[in-house]
Amino acid sequence: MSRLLHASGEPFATGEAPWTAQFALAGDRLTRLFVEMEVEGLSATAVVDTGGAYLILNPVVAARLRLGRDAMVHTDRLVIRGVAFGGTVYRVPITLPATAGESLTFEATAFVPELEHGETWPLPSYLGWQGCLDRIRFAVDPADEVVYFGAVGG
Amino acid sequence: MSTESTTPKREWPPLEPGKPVPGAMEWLKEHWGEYPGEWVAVRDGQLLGHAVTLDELERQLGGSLKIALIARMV
Repeated sequence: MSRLLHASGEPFATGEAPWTAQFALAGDRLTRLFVEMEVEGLSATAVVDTGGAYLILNPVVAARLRLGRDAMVHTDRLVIRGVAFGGTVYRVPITLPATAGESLTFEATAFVPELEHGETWPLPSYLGWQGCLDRIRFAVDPADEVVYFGAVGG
Repeated sequence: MSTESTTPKREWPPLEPGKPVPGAMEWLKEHWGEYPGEWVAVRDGQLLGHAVTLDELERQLGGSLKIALIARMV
């Protein structure tokens, strides 16, 4: 396992995990980078999206989690792939499980879109930048299909 | 859709918190194009179940989704 070191000798990352390039939607032309995450004991996949905000939590998955009112932050409105969604913002601990090194748990800001009656959510969950990936150290090795992660200041 | 062949044949213990689901990402790399539009549950390199809805998948898994990695296939 190879990890960058800071000048102090502190490792840039303390854990690593595989990623896989897959289409997020049928008909997509480009693949996305999927990783494994764990929220409230539920293991699921999510797309790494440094151009997005928050952890966008698939509302079907979120419905099975115990996201209490005390975890609510506010409501918000986001445009996701060209569609505006209202939703609720929560603070939730999520874990990136490590296949080597240490798994990383950190508090993410999660946006759970509200679906209209009968509306479906065709998208995956997304690990966005603001409120999520910007709280950890994160790097991608495209050659070995590995992501590296660690706590900021940890 | 037949669920008989994918229903777990044994009781799966809860996953170890904070640990990767064994063999799950490897399975997804191999099988992503399969079961389009369905949810799958994977553990130990095996498909434990697949269904159009998470409710149905949860039933197949014996009432808890927290024994496998779940993913929605494309």
